[in-house]
Amino acid sequence: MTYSGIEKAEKQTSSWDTPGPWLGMVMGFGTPLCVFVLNAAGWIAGLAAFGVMGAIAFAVIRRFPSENAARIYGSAALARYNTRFLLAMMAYIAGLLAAMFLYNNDMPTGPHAYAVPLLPTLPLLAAIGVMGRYMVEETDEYLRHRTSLSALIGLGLVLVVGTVWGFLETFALVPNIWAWWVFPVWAIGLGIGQGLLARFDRAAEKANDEDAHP
Amino acid sequence: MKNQLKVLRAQRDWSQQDLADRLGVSRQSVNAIEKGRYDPSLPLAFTIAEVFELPIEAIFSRD
Repeated sequence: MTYSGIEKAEKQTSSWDTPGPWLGMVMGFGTPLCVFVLNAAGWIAGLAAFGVMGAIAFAVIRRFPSENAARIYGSAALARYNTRFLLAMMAYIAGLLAAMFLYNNDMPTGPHAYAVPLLPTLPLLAAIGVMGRYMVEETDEYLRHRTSLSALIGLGLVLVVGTVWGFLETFALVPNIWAWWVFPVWAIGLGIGQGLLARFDRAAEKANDEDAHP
Repeated sequence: MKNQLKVLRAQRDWSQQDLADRLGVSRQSVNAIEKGRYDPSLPLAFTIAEVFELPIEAIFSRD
């Protein structure tokens, strides 16, 4: 096989051969629909709608062979991470909506009140655990290196945003923000880092192609 | 570091994925090492040398 044949063969697989994009579509379209059902028909119908969405998500995961995901995402650990993280995010959305519903309708009092904020909190703690587990399970040193760099970019973003916002808030120039924003800001930084590094990878692949077809 | 990965795998008619499978790493890893954007650890460099049946210094050299 020539260089050009090699490169073409390497690009035949697509992320659409993995559950990730399909799960994203199920969640993207399903969550607003479930919220609509929750508001229109009550919490029992809403929970049932979330149950149906969860069942569809599991069916999607089972539909695709895991070796496809391992090949496309780069490693089996990364494929497992993607699935686990999506499941944690689904649990987070369900927990957040349930907590908001309880808060707006029949908020428990006393010690039981602490259970309500735990509904969205526990899935997010699980998501953080999923990230840690990925770093332990990943055997590919380059992918681990790439994730470490992305995590540092996320940390840098948290430090910058937290420092700037904190001082602006100290001098009463901006409103207070809740501390749970730390996680999404860090995750945004992680995503930016992963996106940039993936872009560098693709640029390198393109350079490979150009080397093959001068 | 410079390396001869692209030349060596072309000589053997291996794609990046073929080499990645032999090394037990991702194709992204092979791509990054091949383009000099990532220097492999010593254990991975030894594995690469074993796969190509060459000494490390025949594959990797200083810039």
